[in-house]
Amino acid sequence: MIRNLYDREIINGFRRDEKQSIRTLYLMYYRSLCYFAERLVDDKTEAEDIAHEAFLRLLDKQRDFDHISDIKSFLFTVARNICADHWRNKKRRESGIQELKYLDSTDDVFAEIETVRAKALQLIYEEVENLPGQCKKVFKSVFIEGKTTSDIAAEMGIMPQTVLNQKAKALHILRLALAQKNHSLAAASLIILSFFSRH
Amino acid sequence: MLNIKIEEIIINFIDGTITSEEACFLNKWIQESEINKQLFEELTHPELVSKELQKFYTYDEELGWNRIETELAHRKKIKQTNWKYWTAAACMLGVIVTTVVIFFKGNDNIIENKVATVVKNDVEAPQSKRAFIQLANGETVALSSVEKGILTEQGRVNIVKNSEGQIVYQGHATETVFNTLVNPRGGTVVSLVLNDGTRVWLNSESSLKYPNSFSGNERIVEITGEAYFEVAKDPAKKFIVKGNGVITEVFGTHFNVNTYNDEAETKVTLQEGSVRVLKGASSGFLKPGQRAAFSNKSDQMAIDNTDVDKVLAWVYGDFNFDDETLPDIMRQLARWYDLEVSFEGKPPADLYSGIISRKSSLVTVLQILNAAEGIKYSIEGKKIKIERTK
Repeated sequence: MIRNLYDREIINGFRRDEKQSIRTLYLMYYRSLCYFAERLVDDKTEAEDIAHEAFLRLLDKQRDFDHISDIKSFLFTVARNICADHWRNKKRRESGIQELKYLDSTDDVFAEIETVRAKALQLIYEEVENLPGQCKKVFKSVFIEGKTTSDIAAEMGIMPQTVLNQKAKALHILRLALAQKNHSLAAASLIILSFFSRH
Repeated sequence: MLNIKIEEIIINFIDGTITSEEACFLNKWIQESEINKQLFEELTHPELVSKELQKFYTYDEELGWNRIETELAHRKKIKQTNWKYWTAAACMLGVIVTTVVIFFKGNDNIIENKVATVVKNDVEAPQSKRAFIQLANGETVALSSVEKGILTEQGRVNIVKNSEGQIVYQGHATETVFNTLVNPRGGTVVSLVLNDGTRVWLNSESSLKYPNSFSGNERIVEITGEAYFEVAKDPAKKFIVKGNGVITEVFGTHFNVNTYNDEAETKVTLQEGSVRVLKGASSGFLKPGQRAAFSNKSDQMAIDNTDVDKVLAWVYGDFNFDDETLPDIMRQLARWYDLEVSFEGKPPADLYSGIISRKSSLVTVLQILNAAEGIKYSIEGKKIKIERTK
């Protein structure tokens, strides 16, 4: 419910060409699109260009979307098409090279599977990014940067116990936030929860 | 056929919320191919997911955003040029263009009418910044007046609004003057970066008095209403917040001060670091996660543990009610939506809980809280009247 209201705000702002909404959507999807494209074209700089291009094409169709989920589908479809073009051009240029990862029908399967992977990871990423300030900082330090509790405590000038508390809080909020969203997203917290039990 | 995507079903599976229909679908999907099976295994393997998610953070999103911004600015220019072209074309194709305009106008009216019926008896969330800065010389500067760039100059200090809408003080002052940032009722939350790098968020119906530059060996600011501080570390210069007679002394830390006059207590909540609070004869030190509550009628003080995220919900753009009475809730709503609240008879004693976006309209908030049950409310303009029905 809360989530849907927030989505509504973003869509309306996006239709009205408000920069804040454009940026929100960009932050929501840019990194997952880069990741997706890099899986397909195996080149980081190229991948970032593809994500950029996909986003520009979204901006051409600002009034065409009623739901955030449609925007997500659109962005991944466009990125996938750009990747296909990329490979076609590359093949034309360097015909004879056998290492093509993505082309033709067998490669459609590959692209399809990568789409599922990137979209699933995007859901988890979005929830991590939506954590409140200190929670997010602690969470990312542990989870993304692999730092220890005492290092984080020293770096942030907080007590080790506070780091542990924030970690627990992050998990709690993640689960709450996910529950409010589509129930399908709730699993992300479980994945993340199991990270912690292993750390 | 299932109207749900495979990645969502996989996540439902991990979560344990998968339906039997979805499980059947997922099973079929896994059997379909070796590559499907492999992906399923990878996505349900925590360490692998962690490793992949780490890659997300290797992409520079600020750099990418700069490229988008450049493109947006470029497009705006092109649009304006196109507009000139179309104006010229319109003169030649007068009749056709007129028809088109009427057609679109008609449509717009329908939309507007619809919107009007929906929001007739509702109050929208604050949309724009109402806040302004009162300069030492009496002049005021509205924050909404500039999209980005220099708001005003004060001696050698520039008051600048950055791309995130935050107000920043740059430069060193030759003489210290005091400015006041005022955020009236019904204004969105504003944030400010002081000359020493300290960040302050100001809730609606609040104000912050601060110098354009901190001189001497103390950094002193005064507030009314509610503010959240992320103080820049400077062991040589104490940072002091004064509000409602309560003094909070800090050295570099994150904390919230609530001094609303219509509340029974003035509250200081510490998120990070350490602060000393005092009022009259009472004083004490706070640890992270603790809150000091001072009675507004005496010097009495109590320190207890609190849920910091609930206290800071306003900074994150939410209302966070936890077993609160309707009068308590309505006081918070009144500041945000700029309301006049009145209760017909004795206010209900029921308790309400919920986390709701501050961007929601008033009626939406009330509906989510389910406050409509057992009470009746009527909204007229900015006045809301509440009555018990049971």
